[in-house]
Amino acid sequence: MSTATQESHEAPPAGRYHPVLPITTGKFAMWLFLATEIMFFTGLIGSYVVLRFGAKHWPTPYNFIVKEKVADKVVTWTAVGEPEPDKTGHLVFADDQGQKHDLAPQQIEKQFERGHEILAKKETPLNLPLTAFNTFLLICSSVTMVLALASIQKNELGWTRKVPGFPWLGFRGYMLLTILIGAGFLSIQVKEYRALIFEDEFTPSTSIFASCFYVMTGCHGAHVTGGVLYNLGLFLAAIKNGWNSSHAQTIELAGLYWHFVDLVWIILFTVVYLI
Amino acid sequence: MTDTTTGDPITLTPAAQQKAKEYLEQDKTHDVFRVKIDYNKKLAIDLDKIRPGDRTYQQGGVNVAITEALIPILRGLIIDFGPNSEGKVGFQFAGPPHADPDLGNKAQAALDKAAAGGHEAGHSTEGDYMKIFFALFMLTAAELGCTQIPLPKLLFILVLMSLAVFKAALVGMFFMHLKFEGRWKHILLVPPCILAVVLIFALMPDVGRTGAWPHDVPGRLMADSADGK
Repeated sequence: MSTATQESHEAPPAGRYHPVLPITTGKFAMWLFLATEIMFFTGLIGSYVVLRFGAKHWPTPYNFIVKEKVADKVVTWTAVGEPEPDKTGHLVFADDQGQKHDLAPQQIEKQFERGHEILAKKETPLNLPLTAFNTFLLICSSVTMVLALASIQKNELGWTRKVPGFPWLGFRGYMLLTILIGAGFLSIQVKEYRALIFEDEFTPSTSIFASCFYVMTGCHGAHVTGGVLYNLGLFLAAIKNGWNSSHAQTIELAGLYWHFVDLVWIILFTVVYLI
Repeated sequence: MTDTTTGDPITLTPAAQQKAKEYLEQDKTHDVFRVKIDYNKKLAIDLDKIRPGDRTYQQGGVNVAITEALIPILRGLIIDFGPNSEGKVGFQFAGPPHADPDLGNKAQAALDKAAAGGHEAGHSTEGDYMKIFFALFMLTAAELGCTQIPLPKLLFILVLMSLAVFKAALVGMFFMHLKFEGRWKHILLVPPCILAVVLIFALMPDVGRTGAWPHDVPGRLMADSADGK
């Protein structure tokens, strides 16, 4: 009789399936999928990096607005159009009457050094505090997801733990929290898009930066939407069918996807919003 | 409960081996002969796939799989194939585990313990997850703080990207449990990571061709002037 081993490595009978890696097919499939997702997002971020660092000016002026008070009258200067490659630093501004002014960097400085009160200026339409809060939300949802997995592994299947105290909630509680936080993230992203498009007129056709911004954050948002629906499906199935620790791996796979989405956002937040 | 005894924990008689082999050859979707405790807390056999936490061994050409936690409880079990006392032909159990009236409860307790303690031994605990959460929160705050400090552009980018990669690594290592996974993770994840880096480097000439770093963004000049600087 052969000696017992952790995983048998003996040759399988001819023509029989034998797993190549010591993991279940589900986990193998999920990691393979995530490997393709790494390439997908690298393609997007890589293109953005090339466009950005290859550009002479960034962010490309899209909606640079300065409101100044001139003799009790508010004058709005809006940067329009793309900079021309041979005119380094030039920006074209439209004033209140729609008249265009092609200003060199030194002229731009002088234009707003006339002692007029500056009421508002926007160099970027992106709402950094709001997005930082959204990043925090997504990190929170990763924690609740991993706690949901830990809960089901320990057969803590209810809304709260059998024993009061940390970590307080059971599998159902943490799954629901993950779904709600994920939905919260999406709601804030919708609010951000709404403000960008309808208030700042920052649309995908505004500039190459705007295109990149919507493609990257939009693709990520689509992944978050998929993740929320995936988690919701599992949550309902778990309640309906009374899942226990034997279903932990199903939750683990969903968790892998969800954490990956969080991981991508961490990079996107830095690349798109901070740098 | 750790099983330190050597030798196969469960013995299949030649008749059982022959039958199990036949079944496995007919069923192309499964590759192990699993011995388990079913939902009624009774001994059972099944054709299955290898699952995490399994111990498998070969017996007479049959891949036998048992959940690691059940080995001490099932050790000494003998599985035969033939008619039982009522004349019904099938797999029959014998040996000390089969005679144990409390086998089902003992097995459930062992599985629960493995699910709770056993997992923690190789993975993070809830406390560890909260520490990682705190670290991610602080690193995000540090990133936001960096945007308020006037740093040279290149240094600014390096610092922020380092922080982002570190945060991503924390998520991957602890939340996705990569820190605790076996060497298979390298097979699956190293190729796309290499390709990702290659892609960025392959695109570098396009960046170099234009050769402009964003240190002369006109908007910045304008914002500074508006502040009265």
